[in-house]
Amino acid sequence: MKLNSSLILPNQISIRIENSNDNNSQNEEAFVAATTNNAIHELLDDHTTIGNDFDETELRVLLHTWGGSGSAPMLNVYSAEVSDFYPHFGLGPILNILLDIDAPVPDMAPSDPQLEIIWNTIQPDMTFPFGEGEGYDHSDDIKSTIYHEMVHVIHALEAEENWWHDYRIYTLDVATTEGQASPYGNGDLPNAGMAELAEGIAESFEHFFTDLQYGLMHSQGQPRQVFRYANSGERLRFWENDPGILFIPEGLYYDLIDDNQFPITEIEPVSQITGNRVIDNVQGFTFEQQLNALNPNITNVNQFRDNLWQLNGQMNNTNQNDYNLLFNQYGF
Amino acid sequence: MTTTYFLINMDFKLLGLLIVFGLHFISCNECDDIYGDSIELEVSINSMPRKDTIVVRDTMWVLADIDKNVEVKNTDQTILLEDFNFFTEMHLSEISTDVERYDLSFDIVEQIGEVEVLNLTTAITYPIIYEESANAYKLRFGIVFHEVGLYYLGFFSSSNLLESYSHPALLCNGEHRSNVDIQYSNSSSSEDNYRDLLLSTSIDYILNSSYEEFEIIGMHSFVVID
Repeated sequence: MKLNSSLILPNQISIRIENSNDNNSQNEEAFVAATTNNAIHELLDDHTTIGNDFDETELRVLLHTWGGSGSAPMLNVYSAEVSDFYPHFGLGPILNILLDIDAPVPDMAPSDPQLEIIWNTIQPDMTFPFGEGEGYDHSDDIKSTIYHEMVHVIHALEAEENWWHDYRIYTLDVATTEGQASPYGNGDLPNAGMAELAEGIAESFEHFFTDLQYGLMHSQGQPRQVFRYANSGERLRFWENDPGILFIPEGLYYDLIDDNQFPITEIEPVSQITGNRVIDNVQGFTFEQQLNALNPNITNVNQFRDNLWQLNGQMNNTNQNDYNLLFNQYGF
Repeated sequence: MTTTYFLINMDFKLLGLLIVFGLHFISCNECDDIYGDSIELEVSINSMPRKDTIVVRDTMWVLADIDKNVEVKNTDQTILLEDFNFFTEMHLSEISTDVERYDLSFDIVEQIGEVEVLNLTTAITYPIIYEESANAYKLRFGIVFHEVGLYYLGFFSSSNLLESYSHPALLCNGEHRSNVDIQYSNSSSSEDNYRDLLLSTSIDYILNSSYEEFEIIGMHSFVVID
């Protein structure tokens, strides 16, 4: 089925352009742009009240075919000068890291004027790669990444400008002066806690929101019930930024909200790669509650744990021992 | 609130500035081995007896004897998998109504290999651990049913786990392949079984799924009667 101007497609259904050999066409561009736009609206309008006072027209999105991953550098909402970073590295490497593009920016020399255009004119707050080989053929694939980046955007709004700027600097430090695995390092730098918060909560809630949107109507294959995004979220534990280095608790935030249908043993599964399981008697800490606990002073998971409990622990009727046990199993 | 958006009415204004660069992406991992950057493997797990109906307290046996030289789909190649984790999980649900049930009553009798239980948010699956011999991965366990119903059995491996699995056979030039998929064949799986039994359910997503989707997970549907 090819996209055409008379086609009307409700966005709750996983949509795919069958012409998979032509992923850089105008049809593909329109499909990715529309799906991105819908995902932003769905998250802000349907799935959370956080960000309601945010002027969406400020948000600048760059869709590109340079490979890499999505990113949320917030370069317009929280504008930045090159001099705020490491100007001697040059604009190309800085953009490669902040926009999480496969380095170097393809087809651009260090002095290419397009780099200046990206930095000074486009100023993307959020980016998304598409095209051949990216694996984003279905709308749920695209939206799960957009939801991930939008959680970053909302987190950035809650944590405010200085916090997000420090986090941008952290990702630059990791890849440059510290020589650690890009983009999040190995967890031993002073601000590694920011990655534990930002990447962990984005990974958890990308699964949560995509399941809210798609349920069984996803594209992840059979058995379709098993491959629901909710169940993939349940399997999360640590993001392996560097093979064997486990410090970003990508499943923690999901375990704080999820209510298992099958609490038979209260033992939750995780990746079979690690072979570990988590005792989870905690539920109901909503996205709003978790994001509200991420104020500008919260820079690591221990602070987040204490603040979330102080704000919502009693209200959620959760046993504090169970709550602390969950964090403890993630190493906090 | 549920909002429905239409592609022809998309609101670009709210995206602010949206620019699409028409550059062509070039993959960084130029995998040049004989298997390529995307690899699909096929292994066989059989559920026996090959019947549409069994009786309560009967045993459905699950059997595998997977040669370590595993067939690569759509090629005439095999790939040697030593000390390999297939991340195989068994799916088993009851589908006689319009609700897919996972809280089932049955016993597992392990003879070769092991079967674990994995409670997910909306499903339960059963990870399988094979017994590795010099030449093969072997499995033999029985499912003894305690309640009547229409059952749907299948096998799958999570692509997410496989694509981040650093086994030498799954790496190319030291990097993960972009796509790794394991498909399962089952001698009890057939289009007749799909049409006559699986499609007798009232569960929408099953009714709206093709035989090809179930064939690659070795689907076997059967009725357990008193």
